[in-house]
Amino acid sequence: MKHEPPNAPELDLSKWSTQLRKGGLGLAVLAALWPGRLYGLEILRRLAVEGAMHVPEGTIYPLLSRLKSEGLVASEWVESEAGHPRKYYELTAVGRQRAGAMGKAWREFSGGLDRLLSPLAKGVSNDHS
Amino acid sequence: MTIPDGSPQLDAYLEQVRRQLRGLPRPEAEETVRELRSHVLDRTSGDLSPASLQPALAALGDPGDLARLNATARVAARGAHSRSPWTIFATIARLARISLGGACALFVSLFGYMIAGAWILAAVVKPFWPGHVGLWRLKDAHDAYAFSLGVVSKAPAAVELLGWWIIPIGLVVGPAVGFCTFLYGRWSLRRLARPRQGRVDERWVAA
Repeated sequence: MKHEPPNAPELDLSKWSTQLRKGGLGLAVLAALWPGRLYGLEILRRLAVEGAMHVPEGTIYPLLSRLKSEGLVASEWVESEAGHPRKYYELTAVGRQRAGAMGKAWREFSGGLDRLLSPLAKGVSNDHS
Repeated sequence: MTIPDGSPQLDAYLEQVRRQLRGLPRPEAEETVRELRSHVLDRTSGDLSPASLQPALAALGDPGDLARLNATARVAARGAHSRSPWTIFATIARLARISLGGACALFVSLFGYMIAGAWILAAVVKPFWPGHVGLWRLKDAHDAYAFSLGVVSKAPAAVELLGWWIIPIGLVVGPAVGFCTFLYGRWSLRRLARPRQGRVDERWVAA
C-alpha cells in the first residue's frame, strides 16, 4: 500500500527563485566582467540584459567591495566623457582563474540538472497539448 | 560634455548616506559616497531634475538602509577571510556598532570566549589553588539547580563535581569552545558580508 505524506509544505516559488539567483550572483558578476572592465551601472545592465538578473541597485557596490576584498576584482577611477569620474572594475588574475573554475562547476551542475529536468519539460508540454 | 554633479535633493540623499556610514574609515566612506554619486549621474545621464532623480534614488533605496548595507558588508568582508581570532573578534565588535546582526554576533562571541576562558583558567589554576577552583552544583531554596565554574576566593558550600578532573577536561573543553566560537565568528562575518537589500523608503519614491 502506498502512503502519501500528509500536506506537503507550500512552496514560495518567488522566494525560492530569489535564493537561487542570490547563490549565483557572485559568479554572474565575475562573468559580466570577463570580457573587460565595467563600472557599476554597466554591470547591472549586463546582468539584466544578458542574464535576466534584475539586481537591486543598492546591493551591487557592497558585493563588488566583497569581491575586491577577496582579491577577485580590482578597481580604478577613470575620468569619463560624461563629465564625471567613474569607478571601473576588472577581474584580477586570481578572479579570472576563480571565474573559470566556478563557471566549469556551474555548467557541470546545470547540465546534469537540465538532463534530469527534460522529462518534466516534456510532461508540461504534453499537459498543454 | 560636462554635466552638473549636484542638486539639493541628491546632496541631501548622499549626506544622509554619509552620516550613516559610521564604522567605515573616512576615506572609504567618502569613496562610497563618491561612487554612489557617480552611479546616480550615470543613471540619470546627468539630468538632475526631480523627475529624473527621484526614480534613480528610489532604485537605490532608503539612504539609511543603503549606508548600513554598505558599511556592514564592507566591514564584514575585511575580516571574513582572516584566520586570526583577534581580527575576527575586533571586526565583529565594529559591526556591533552598526548592525543588529553584528550585535548578536558580538554577544554570542563574548559568551563563547568567556566560557572558553573560564575552563582554561580553571585548569591552569587548579594545581596552585585547589580548594578555590572547580565546578559547583548550587541548589537554591526552590530546589532549582545552577552551576558555577571557575576560580573563587571562597568556595561555595555546595557539591564540587569534577575535582582534579577539571584539569584535563578544562584543557580540552576550553580550547574546543574557543575554536567553535572562532568558527561561529567567521561564519557570521561571511553571512554579514553578503549584501541584502533593505526596504525602499517612500520619500525617495514619491514623484
